[in-house]
Amino acid sequence: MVTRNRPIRIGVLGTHSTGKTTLLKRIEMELRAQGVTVARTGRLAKRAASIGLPKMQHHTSASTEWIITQGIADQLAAAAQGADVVLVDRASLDALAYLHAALEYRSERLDRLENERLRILAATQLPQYDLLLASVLDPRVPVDTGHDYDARYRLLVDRHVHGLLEEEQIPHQRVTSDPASHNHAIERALRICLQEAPV
Amino acid sequence: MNVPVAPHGRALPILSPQKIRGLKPSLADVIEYRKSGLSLNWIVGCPLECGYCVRHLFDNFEMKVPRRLMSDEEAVASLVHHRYFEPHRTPIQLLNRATDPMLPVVKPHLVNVLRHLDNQGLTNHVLIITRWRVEPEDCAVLNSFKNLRLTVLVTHSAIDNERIEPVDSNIAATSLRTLFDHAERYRTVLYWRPIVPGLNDTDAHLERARELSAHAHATVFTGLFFRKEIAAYYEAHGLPLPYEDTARRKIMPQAAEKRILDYFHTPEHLTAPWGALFRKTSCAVAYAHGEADYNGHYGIRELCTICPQEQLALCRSAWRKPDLAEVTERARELGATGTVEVTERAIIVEGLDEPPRYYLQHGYGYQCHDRAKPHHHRQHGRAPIGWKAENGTTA
Repeated sequence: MVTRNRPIRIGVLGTHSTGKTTLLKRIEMELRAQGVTVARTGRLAKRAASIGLPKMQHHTSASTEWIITQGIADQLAAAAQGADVVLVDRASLDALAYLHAALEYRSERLDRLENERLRILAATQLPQYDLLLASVLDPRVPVDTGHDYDARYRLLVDRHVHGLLEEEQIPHQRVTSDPASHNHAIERALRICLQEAPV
Repeated sequence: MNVPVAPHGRALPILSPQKIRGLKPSLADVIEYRKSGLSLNWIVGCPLECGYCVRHLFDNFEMKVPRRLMSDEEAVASLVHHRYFEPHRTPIQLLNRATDPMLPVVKPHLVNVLRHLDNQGLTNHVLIITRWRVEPEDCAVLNSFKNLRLTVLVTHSAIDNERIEPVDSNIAATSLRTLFDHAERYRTVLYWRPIVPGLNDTDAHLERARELSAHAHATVFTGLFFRKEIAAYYEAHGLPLPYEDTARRKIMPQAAEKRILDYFHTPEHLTAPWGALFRKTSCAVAYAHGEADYNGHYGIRELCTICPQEQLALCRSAWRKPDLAEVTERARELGATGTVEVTERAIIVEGLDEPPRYYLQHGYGYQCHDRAKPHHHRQHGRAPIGWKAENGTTA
């Protein structure tokens, strides 16, 4: 059994209401059932909004930078608590996809150097993830009625998430709305964690 | 889902004495005498996060990864040397309070304890309650015990609000079928609970439960245990409160019970019009093993109105009103104060807490009630919420 001095990290990304948190909760439950200690990070956009930063189609370079850096800090804090596995609800690249989608939504462009800076910031985290799961929007699945999402923006985020992953050739697993796809993602996550975590 | 399982390596860690001291004393105490038996809970912590879990009452809901309080051998010794343990008689429950016994990390310890008990030649009833995965290879292990009277109860609620019931109900449904298909020496019971009107009592829910009950040796249905700690959790998480009030006992409103009974009623089955459906856990367990109820519920006749005739006959033949002088002497030894009575329904005592009352109850197979907590007619073991007051017989 390989022991490591850093926890296993599994990140998810994808547009809103595509089952990311539910998927992580299921992975969390399965891991704990096997005795693995798990920490889950998340609620970044909500926390950003609570300190006055814009969200959704109003995202700016500042809100994106806050979300990426706060996400990094959350992951470090979770690791410092001694968790065997850290489940990251929104891997760093996700924030960049949200920003790109917001800019396209508003027909705006970001300064090239600023864009590059954010891209490098997000990219610094990619080697940290042992597995990246990317949810795929299924337009047939109705959105939770509790949310008043802009459908066009949601679609744009989906396109930018998968566009960035392809562009940067980042290894990841796509997770569709099909329950079998969710199960496959959970099985893969468990396999990685159970091989490596000090159970 | 084909779930990979961690190679069975090291044993579940034992919490340090300091951490155990930090637990609520009632949780750190591994043995508790409950109505369904002497309950051994040497492992605490659970990832399943069921909103209505009794772990709220022990301030333990946040502990998501199981840990042991002592070794399996020490747990066995604590049980069999407990002052209220009687070989071959006292019903036993394992890990029914603070974790799920079939979690992969818990299961090896459960099996270890079962093996120790079985190897001692004990024939006591042992109840295991789970809502997690049970595989055919687990059934083979459960069938391998030669002496214990083992029952696996599978909890199934079918509540589809993920914040109240995060565990996929299909897991329990599959486990029940697997258990039933492979049962040789053990029995399996569908533990249909908690039933909350408006949440999981639609016709579709009832139909699903009836279909599942065909894959069990017996079925028990019960309501929600809704204490103030559980209500506080619901409120803090923005969950709809199922009842305005909390209660000491489980809440099973009359209208909900009637719907269930009507749904299961098949008058053409003359000797068992409700099939193997029971109101009380011990009744279902006893039926599944072909025995009389060890809790003496036969004395509370209104509980028996749905029982199969063959079961009633068994309970009737085993049910003996204990001798008053003998009961009085034993109750006094246990610390009873005031008058001891033996009525047609129960032994009535004063000054005895639940453990000694259950000790008497299981010893005589006859209900034992506290005079200060009367069991009103048709409200045995139920909260008064959802029931019209009736001037029936008390205790």
